[in-house]
Amino acid sequence: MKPYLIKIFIILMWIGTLFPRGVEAQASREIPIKAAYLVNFAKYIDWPDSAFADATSPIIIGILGTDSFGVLLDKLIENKVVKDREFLIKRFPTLDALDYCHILFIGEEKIAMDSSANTQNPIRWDSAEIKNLMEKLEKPMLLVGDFNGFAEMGGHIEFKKSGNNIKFIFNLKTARQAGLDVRSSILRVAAEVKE
Amino acid sequence: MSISIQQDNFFREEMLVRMSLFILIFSLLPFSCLAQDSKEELEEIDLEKLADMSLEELAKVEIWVTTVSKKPEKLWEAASAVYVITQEDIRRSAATTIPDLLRMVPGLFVGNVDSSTWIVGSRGLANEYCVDVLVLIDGRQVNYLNWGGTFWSVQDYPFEDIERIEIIRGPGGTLWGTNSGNGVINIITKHAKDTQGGLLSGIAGTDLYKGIFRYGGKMGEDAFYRVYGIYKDVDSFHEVDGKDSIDEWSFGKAGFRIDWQPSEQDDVILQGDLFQDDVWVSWPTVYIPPAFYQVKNRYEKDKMGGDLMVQWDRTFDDGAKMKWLTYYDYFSLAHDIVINMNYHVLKTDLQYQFNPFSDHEIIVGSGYRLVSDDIENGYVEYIPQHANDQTFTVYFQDNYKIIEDKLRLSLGAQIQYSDYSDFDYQPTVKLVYTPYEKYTIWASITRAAQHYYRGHKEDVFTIYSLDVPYETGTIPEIVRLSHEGDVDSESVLSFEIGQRLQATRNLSFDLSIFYTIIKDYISADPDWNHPVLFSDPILHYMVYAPPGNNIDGETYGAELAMNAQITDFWKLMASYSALDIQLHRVRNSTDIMFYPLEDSSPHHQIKVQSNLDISKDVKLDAAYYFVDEISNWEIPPHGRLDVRLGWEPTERLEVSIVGTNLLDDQTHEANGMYTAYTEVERGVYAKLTYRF
Repeated sequence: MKPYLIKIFIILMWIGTLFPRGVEAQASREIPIKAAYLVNFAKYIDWPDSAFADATSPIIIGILGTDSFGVLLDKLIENKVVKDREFLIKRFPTLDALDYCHILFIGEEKIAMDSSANTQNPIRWDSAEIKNLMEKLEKPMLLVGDFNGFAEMGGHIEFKKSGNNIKFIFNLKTARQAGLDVRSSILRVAAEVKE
Repeated sequence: MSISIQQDNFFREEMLVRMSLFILIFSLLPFSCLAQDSKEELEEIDLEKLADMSLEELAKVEIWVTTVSKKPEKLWEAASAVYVITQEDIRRSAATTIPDLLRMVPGLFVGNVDSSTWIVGSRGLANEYCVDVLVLIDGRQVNYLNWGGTFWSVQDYPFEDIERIEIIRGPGGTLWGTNSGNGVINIITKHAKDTQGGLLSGIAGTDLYKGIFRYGGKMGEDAFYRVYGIYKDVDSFHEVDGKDSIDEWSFGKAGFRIDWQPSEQDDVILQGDLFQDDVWVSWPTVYIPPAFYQVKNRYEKDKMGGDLMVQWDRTFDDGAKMKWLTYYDYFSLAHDIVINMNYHVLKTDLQYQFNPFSDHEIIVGSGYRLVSDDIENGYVEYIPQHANDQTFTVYFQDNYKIIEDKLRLSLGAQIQYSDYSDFDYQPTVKLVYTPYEKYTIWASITRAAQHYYRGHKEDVFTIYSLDVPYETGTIPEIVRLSHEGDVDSESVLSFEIGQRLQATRNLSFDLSIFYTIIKDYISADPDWNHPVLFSDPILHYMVYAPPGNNIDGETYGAELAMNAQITDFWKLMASYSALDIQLHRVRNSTDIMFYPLEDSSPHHQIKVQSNLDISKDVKLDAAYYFVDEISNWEIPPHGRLDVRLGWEPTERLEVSIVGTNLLDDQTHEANGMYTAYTEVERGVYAKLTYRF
């Protein structure tokens, strides 16, 4: 090996040893993007007046099961006003605890009730549970799901990864059946609209 | 072809100084960025912005843009020198061909030989017909191994429909098999679901016209399709002395892809393509073997072909995955006085991946390939003219998580039996250590083998070669390179070490260092002392050059890449790579054919890419490539600058103006075989893309 290359190797390796000091940083923006979507959907969906207690009562965003947003969603809705209404976040660990909200986010995972449960294989919702939930709805609720096949099951909006972006599938048929008034501009952005 | 030793040394000394400076600047960068960077601060700015975005804008936010490397985690933790060209990179590049796209890859050498020929070299031994870089489109091998090398002119695809291009520098190892000893280029096209609707794109420029059409739709409930067509017409280059070469090129290709999801667990892909390539090559030469001769100044190098592939992926309930792939590929080359051939490939491969224990992931696979050809001999002569070659492959790899998320060991091997090369054995050991979430260090040792499937054992493989273009009135000296002996596979043993660092959310580094031992590379050993003078059909000397495995050597070098999101609207990528190749003729070899390849790759390359968002719709992108001297081809150090200005007034319409090779009227980038030494001209083109 030529001496000058050995020098390069040594210099390069030396740089390498400096590297770990700089380690920080978040990897993915996936969760913030989804949170921003949730707030944004409120602009394009109209609920009947009966869905609100009065003219100033907030738009409630519910999170069912595991909450992957944490304080991020709370920060995001600070001082946010859509259609003269503020936002409120409610968290429902289980289906039994579910209360009325305007937008319900259903993550991929249920909360593992048993703390000894295997975190490697989180418990997933099954389609029967979701169907059952939708049948029980009395007031119009926008259901947003974060797992494959949610829109197929009848959910209104399903997040989906498309390359390096997050897009969504909109099930217009079931959203209308649920009594939601959908503005057409949301359909233009949807990756896919089911009618 | 002669090299001045003194000049060479002087040049290296100077480069060393330059390079040290460059490295010093690189090493200081992380600190300057750390000083002003606070994670919390940035996150809030980010969140504020997201909250104010419209749905349209949200749909375009890149999930991984904050990790500047853009790589999915899988690649971040890969124990190889991996680089990914994303769809965004493709859109913002000045390239109109796939090899030109590859210029951005750190360490890769790309040289345009004539209007339709490229050399893409990874870690050395770059030449038009190299067999050490594997090129795949959706898993289908597109380099033709009886002749070696990749005909880049026919490897085209609508750029908008390419999902990404993954490049591994260094041995592909266990999973990729033979003939991937120095690299793997894997072009992955989009799922048909992601290319719905129509697209029309037109390019018009000083040197080329290109039109692209694509339409995608739905078939029933579970299936999507797309069809596409490409046509292009490329003007001839200029020769070194400035006169117009006569290497015009036109190309057409059409194809389809169907993605069918019959059930939650199954994905089936059916795809196919057809192409035709009309190429002219200018090369004044005399053709002598065996009983007649011909003087030609220009001849054709036409290609046509097609392929049909089916792929079936199944995921089982327990997480195990099966992948089955089968394709048929037809290729025909009409290379006038060089060679004419028809080439068929049938390949099938079955791979199964499962987790028998929670900390082991095991991949097993097997493959079968049949290559069949029919050859009409010319300069390049094959006896017999028709042959079949069968290859059987088995491989396994165990990815063992020694410490979850921290330390992983991969062990694997591939064993291949082929009619022409008998057994090739290719083992790999890789270790990946991730002490921090965004810092990875890896090391690997891989043995790889490569061979031309023709030209072994009882085959006679002959190249009649002239070193210089023929001048009328001289007595041509012909070297007859003949593979009449038994030639073994070439092998490389590669040691690599690398690290990746996400220094801050806006800055990442990737460094790899390699040392490769080359053994038994094919040589042609001419017997210069006994030239034979023939007078029929014209007066010429013939020098016989029997083949051997008489070249050993080593290559070593390093590739350092940096990605920096300097502000929200400005991204900068830079890389530096060093490479040195030492080849030694052993066993009294007198080789002149392959030995000079040690000087056919640049020692140093610097690449800088800048992506600037002037406004939401207007983007200015530039790329600068510095290529060091290539002494074998007498190419001086040179730079290349490509600039692109893009405007996207609506979602449906995109307009761009691009200038390529702006620094020079015409640049000599690389030399090929049987073609005049042409140069790449400065070019300007406009592109319009409309989606419907």
